Amino acid sequence: MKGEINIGGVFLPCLLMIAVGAFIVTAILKKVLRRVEFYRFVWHSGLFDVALYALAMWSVAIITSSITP
Amino acid sequence: MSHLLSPRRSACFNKLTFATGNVAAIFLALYIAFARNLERPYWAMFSVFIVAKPLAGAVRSKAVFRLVGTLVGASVAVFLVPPLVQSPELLCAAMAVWVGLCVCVAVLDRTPRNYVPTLAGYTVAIIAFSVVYNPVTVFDTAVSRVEEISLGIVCAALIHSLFFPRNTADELNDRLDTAITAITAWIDAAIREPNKADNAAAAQRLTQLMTNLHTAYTYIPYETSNVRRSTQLVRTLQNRLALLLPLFSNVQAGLAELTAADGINASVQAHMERAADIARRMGAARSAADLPGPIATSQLAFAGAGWAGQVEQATLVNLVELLNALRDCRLLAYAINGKRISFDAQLERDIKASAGHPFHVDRGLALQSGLAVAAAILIACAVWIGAAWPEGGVAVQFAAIGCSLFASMDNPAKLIRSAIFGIVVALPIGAVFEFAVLPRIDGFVSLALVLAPMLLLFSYMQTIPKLEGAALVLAITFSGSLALQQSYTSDFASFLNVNSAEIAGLLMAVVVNVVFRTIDPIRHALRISRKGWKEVGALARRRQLPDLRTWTMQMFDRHGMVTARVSTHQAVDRRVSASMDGLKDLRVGLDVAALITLSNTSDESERRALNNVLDAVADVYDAKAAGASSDHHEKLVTSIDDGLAQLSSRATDNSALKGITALVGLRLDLGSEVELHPAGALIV
Repeated sequence: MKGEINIGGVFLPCLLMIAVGAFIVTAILKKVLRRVEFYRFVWHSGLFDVALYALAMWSVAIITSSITP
Repeated sequence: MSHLLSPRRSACFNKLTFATGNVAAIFLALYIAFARNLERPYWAMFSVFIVAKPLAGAVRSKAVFRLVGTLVGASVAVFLVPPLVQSPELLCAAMAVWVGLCVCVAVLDRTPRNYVPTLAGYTVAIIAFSVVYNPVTVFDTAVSRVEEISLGIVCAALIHSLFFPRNTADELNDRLDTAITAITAWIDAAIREPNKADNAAAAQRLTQLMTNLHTAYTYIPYETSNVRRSTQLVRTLQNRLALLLPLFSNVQAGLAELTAADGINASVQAHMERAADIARRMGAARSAADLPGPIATSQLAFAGAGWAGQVEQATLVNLVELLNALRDCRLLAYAINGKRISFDAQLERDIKASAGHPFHVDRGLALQSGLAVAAAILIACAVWIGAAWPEGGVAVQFAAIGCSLFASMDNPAKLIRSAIFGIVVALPIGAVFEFAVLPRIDGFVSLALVLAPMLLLFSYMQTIPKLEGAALVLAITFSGSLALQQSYTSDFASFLNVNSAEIAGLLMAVVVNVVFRTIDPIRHALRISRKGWKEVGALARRRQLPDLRTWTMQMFDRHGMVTARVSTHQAVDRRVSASMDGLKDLRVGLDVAALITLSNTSDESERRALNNVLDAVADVYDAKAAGASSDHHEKLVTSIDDGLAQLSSRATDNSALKGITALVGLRLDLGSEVELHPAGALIV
């Protein structure tokens, strides 16, 4: 979770990569949840989506830091 | 608890929450920018203002478009500047070509998505012309531009989706409710006092209501997740909404014809009262299950005899279709709002078959706009290089921005002029803050407290449609002139230099637009109308049904563009505005389509009569499109009367009813002599 990633000479912060990864994960999750009409049980969908994103970011961070020592 | 966040809150509450949320988003963006030591926090600050819209979906869509546009623009700047910076002329030429190209693409795309190419164009100009004296920094400048803009729009999108979001589907449902109530009232009034002058005013308001409905759906794909993003539903809704207005005006014309003859008779009144009753039940329904079922044509219409009888019948058929279209809209809006709805067979079929529709495009205009921007940039660059003017780069940036932002308007020069006026008003305010208030500020909290009143005022202004544009200009100039940075640096000379260069750049944009890009709105409206007339003529001539939904949407789009131009222009000859009635063209087109469908299933003699009508309509419209006066009028009227006689002689069934309705519609729309003036002749 430290440092930067070198892509073609451009150093990108890890946090940015995690954020983008989490965004993709959330997008897929939301698509699935919409498909099963899960949102009918959600009171404030904006809040729910942000919470979902936070969870996704946390999981991505945990997973990537356990893979790359 | 949930009523607190329910859609039906008072308008004032909505505006206040929007303004407060917006200010919160600005402070969040500023705070993060200061905390992370970003280079120009004020870029983040006005980004919030630019994407802020009262509808959450609109904020998110604009945020995405702005992000993508900025990314593309910044990459192009990094790609273009280093190799060309040694030869300023080449760099200027490359900028002009790129921005011109982007504007051209933006004008061709008439959806909100055109913000992407617009921004991709002028972001390059902003980055490139601010680093020419120090080209090594191009990469850093590009990165900080992207960083700060993303920061601003992420904050705006986050806050506006969390803080009392107003979603498009709720808005759409509210507007539909208003429209249904208004239609009920209108039908009631038409039954009770058919001759009252108030009815015309009410009809005008209704027209406005139905037009307003159209602006709501664009943002549905960007809504928060509880809104269903089925493009098929949205497209079907668009189609049904486009039908409301022509159907309504058909009913109106029919009633006018009846009252002008011998008044509305008792049986028609009885039928209309039933229609009003259904409309009232529709207005009172709070869920899809409460909604009255689709109305069968036979429920209200009857076979009338003679001209008056046929008009009565056609009016009632149109009324039924209007109510059914309203009902479909209601169901679709419920469905988009996430409710589970079972549609009836016809609607289900339409939803399955829905396809995207292209807007009316004008390639000539797009090319002209692109050339105008390129010319403005080249002229500004020539002044900059020729006069060795140190702040000239800023002038070029603003020439590019001014031309790009207003490229799709008829008269960009006028809008740029009002933007200049806004800047002149906002600059003194900015100067007071910059030189009198900011020097006494230390720390973020006191800064926030000092800025809050102005920011609240600008945000509140943004919720009032009339002041929206002004608010944006004021807010951007205000934040730009403060140029908030890490530590307070103030220099009155540079403040004046930079800001006068901004105004000089915009003035160049004005001059170029006056020369290259001022189009008389009425001529433009005529140009659009002519395209529509050609389409109607072609439809009647071809005898083959195109995809009617696409066709309807395109005609409706043209109608909207024409009315926007004709209504804002005061000095229009009444005959000119009457001849450019896009709605009438749409109605004629729908009638023609109904006749084509009917003639495909009817016997020989009937088909011949209908084909005569179609030929005559095609002749009239071709002549209109060519700008010639036509002598087909008599032929048209006799052929319509022939067709009516043919159809009324046969057994009344649904298809005959539809045919009679279409013929009566044509007769009412094209029967009077006035309509055959060639519009082109009147303008020149």
